[in-house]
Amino acid sequence: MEGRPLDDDATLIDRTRQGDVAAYELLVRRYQDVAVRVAHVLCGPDEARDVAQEGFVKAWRALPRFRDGAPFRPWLLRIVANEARNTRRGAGRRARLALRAFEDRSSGGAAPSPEEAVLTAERRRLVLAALEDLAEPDREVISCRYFAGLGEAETAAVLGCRVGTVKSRLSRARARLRARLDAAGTLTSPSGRSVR
Amino acid sequence: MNGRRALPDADLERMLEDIATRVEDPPAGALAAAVRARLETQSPGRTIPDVQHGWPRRRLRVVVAGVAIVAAATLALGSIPRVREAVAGWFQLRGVLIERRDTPPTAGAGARLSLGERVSLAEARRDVSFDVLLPAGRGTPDEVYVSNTPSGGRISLLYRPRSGLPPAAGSGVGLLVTEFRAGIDDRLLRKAVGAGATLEDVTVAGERGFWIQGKPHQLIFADERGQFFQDRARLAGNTLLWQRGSLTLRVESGLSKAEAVRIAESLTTRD
Repeated sequence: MEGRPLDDDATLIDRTRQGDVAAYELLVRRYQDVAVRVAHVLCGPDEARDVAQEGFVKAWRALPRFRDGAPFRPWLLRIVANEARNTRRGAGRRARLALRAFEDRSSGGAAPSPEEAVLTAERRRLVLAALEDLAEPDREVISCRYFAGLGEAETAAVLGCRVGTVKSRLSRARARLRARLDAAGTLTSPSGRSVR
Repeated sequence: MNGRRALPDADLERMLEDIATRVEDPPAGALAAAVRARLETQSPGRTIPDVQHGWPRRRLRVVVAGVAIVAAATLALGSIPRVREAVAGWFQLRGVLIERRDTPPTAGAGARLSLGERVSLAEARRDVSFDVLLPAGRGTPDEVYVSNTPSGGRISLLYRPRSGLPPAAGSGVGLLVTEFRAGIDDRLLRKAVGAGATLEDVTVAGERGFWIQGKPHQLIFADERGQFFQDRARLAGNTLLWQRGSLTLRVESGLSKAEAVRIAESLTTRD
């Protein structure tokens, strides 16, 4: 390994273990956005920030058990995810995502007509409702993979399973989600053209 | 085809990816500072401490509450233009800032004052890092609260209104004594009091102090580490503020200056 930069994760972890709180603060800044996002998709927007904060504190306490050379981010996100699950279960409700309002442009750049926009927004709402209806493992794997944007390996780390399990669970979860949407006719137009 | 057909996998994926771009996370905001504030009272890797080794488990909730207050203070400060400017230069100082509000939120007794966690006096004595002072001849406080903000802990002793202790404007309590480790920066204090409240120099048992009277005001403190905090949604009535050693002490009441000073001078570590 070549000389590592002064602010890479491993260096900051070393410094943190030696009692340098400022070094850990840098790690928090580096990963706070993804931590809040993971917390958000797993337990909803209201608790996301507190959950992320708790996750960072617990990770810090657990640092002596962190394996040298292992990637920090998935290890941290797993702690955050566990905290999010506990919070959600404690609250006895399911995660609801907060979506931006009034920002309804297709990727093509042209703003949709108001009618299209309403339909699209309505479809998104229905997809989320169908997702919330899924069993927890299905919901979690889709949330991590798509909404938190984690790769398969990181999703596996966060959910505490093997990569192969992520692949199969994701495939089944998508199929079940699609079945629910098909049953409700949610994502197809009357002409049969599927709509984004 | 019966007019509807199954959604292709690719379309579902696109739909999910589309939703992902619209997820609006709550702002991470001052998360790093909040985490740091919590860590500075501990050392890494220490397992959740038990009662024998300092903070009892119950303490953890206090820590969370304390951080919530810090975070709320951060947000509140940012939204008060006059204070925002002051904070930039003041953040690293030890000191007290007093912010006067024109439309004070309603403040109530006890739990509604965001004083921290309600505990017994004996528990509070264990939880803070200094000797707790009690006003002589007033008996045991009706309610005792501790908070982990600032570092070293803060204790609040609340006496409900009674004969000789009229309800204070703003909080409605008879007497509230607050003790914590922090310093007072008096130049800042003078500047920040502003119109509507008066600041007067007083002497409490030979130590310099301040008597603040007038419109309810909000107190914002910085501890010795430069972490600032305020009493969220808590407005003080007539307030006597002074330092005794490394402690900042505060007496809030509906009493006159002379009576408040008398109570302040009666503070003792004995029950």
